[in-house]
Amino acid sequence: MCRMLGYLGTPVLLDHLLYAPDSSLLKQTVDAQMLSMLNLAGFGFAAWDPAWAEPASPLCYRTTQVAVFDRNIAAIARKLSAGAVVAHLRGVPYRADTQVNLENVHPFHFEGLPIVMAHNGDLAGFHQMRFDLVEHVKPHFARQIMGSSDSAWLYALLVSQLDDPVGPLTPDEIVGAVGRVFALIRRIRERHGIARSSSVNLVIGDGRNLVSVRFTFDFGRFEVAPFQGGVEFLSQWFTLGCDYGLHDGEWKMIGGPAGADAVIVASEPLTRDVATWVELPEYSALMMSRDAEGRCRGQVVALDA
Amino acid sequence: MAADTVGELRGVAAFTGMSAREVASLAASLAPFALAAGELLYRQNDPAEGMHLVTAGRIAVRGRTLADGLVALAEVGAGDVVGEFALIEPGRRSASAQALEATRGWFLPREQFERLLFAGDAAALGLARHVRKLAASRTRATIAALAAEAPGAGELRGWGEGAARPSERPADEMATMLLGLHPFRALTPAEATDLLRGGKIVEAPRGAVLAQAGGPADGLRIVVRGALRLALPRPGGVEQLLVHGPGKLAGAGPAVDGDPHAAALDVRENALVVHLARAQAKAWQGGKLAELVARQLTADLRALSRQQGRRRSMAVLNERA
Repeated sequence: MCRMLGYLGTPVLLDHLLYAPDSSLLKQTVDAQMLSMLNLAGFGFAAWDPAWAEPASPLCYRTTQVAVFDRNIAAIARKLSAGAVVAHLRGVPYRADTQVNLENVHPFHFEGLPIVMAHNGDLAGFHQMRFDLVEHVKPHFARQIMGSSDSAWLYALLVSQLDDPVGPLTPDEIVGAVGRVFALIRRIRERHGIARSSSVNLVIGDGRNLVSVRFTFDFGRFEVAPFQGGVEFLSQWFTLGCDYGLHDGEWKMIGGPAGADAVIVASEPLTRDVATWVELPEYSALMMSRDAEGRCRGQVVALDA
Repeated sequence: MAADTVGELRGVAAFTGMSAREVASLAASLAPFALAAGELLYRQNDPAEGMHLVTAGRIAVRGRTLADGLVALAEVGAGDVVGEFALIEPGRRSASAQALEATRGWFLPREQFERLLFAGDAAALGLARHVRKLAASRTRATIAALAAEAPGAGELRGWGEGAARPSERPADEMATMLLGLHPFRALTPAEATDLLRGGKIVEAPRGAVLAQAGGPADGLRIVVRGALRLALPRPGGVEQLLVHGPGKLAGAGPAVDGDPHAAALDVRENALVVHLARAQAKAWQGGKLAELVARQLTADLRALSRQQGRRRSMAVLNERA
């Protein structure tokens, strides 16, 4: 299980997402509120800003180090502001056969595409399903899959389902592709008789749009007791508003929804006080974009795959 | 405590039907509080340490939501209680409470209340029942408010079909499964077996409707595997309100207040469920199940309130855009 976040809005210092809040993404390495495990298997982010060279192409940073000990991230985060971010902290089962390497660190990104994807969850029986997935991945994307995990394949499937992955993309196109990926995974699971709870929470960004997905195949169908005895760790949350920062001693956005020019999505709130956050419902996607004036608009849509 | 204080407390709705002796037993655990106009009683997200009984004055209850918006939730006055869910769910305040005028009353700390419950104090048990009913009634009111508003565009989902059937899983396997779920770890193996003996174990396929909106209260369902969905039927589909996965209790509101289901209950993923008929669920109301029911009610209420806040905020966001 992993932790992840996405941001879209007026440029924000990465420090304000990754370090500063009392339950910031990097604090979740060892002290997540809704997940009782350590997230030690790597950290990565993709960031965009209109002022940067080649603004459609994300700046990507990945490391297999335990992120809280990585002084390079800290140094970058104190200096770098971005208008869009997708970040991911990788948590894996504490087993010797787990592959902890750079190729499996999220967010996933193929050269030449604006879109990246981070995943929290796991596809049960992925090794059985993998060969059935190949035919649904476009060959030039299949050649770029470096990771061995289900997440790496999910990204390849996602971009293969986009008519024009080079973009520019709309939130509807991204969510449409997610729906098609889920439908084909559902069919392949049925073919293999896989009915174990498999979470596919996603954060997808391309610098212009942000999509957060909360979805689990066969939710709650565990062979043994669910991890940590419950399913709270499978949540997705979001908050929106403007002027994200420290207000009255609290990291939050202000201004009411009518003034919203930014959105944060995350596996769990970045603050212990969750008052200004709401949960994305199960089997749903939040799709957000910004108009020419920088104002946010968005929608929660049902995913009924 | 003076007799006039007991008399004053008997005017509080939460103590209706209690004898003077019962009220006096609770009153010994109370501490007075007084606020000036504008003073904060507690802030949202403060540790929820107990319930306040208002005997004079007025208090506004407000909650924050997306983009730091402020929503007026209630105004309470003499004879009302505020922060009562702190008695049934340890956690944090879900709203702020501020005096609108000079206000006074009594504070019941949860710690003291739990001691009385543990000792089987009749007044404490009665108060716990009252708070559970209050949570059920607020859940019902929130569902009614959601039903009265249009759902978000794109949020309607499909209905399914199917029928539940009795499960043939052995009782010991079921007990092990139940005890593996976090909320039920407080039960002893004997209690789990007893609970299962009192209920029907059913397997229900995705799409099966277990209770219709407006259908009679028919007890409590414990989700052991899979997921149940609380949903509002709408023209052209269904609006999902809550999804209850393993360890969650579905139908807690009707099980507590006996009123009809406020929304439909169907199966979102093939589910294994323990169904306690209303009489059986009621028989457990004094024990550990009562605590789980209370916590489920407050969790449902919070989730529904967040959903309401989300829907309204997104509507404002897109109207403006």
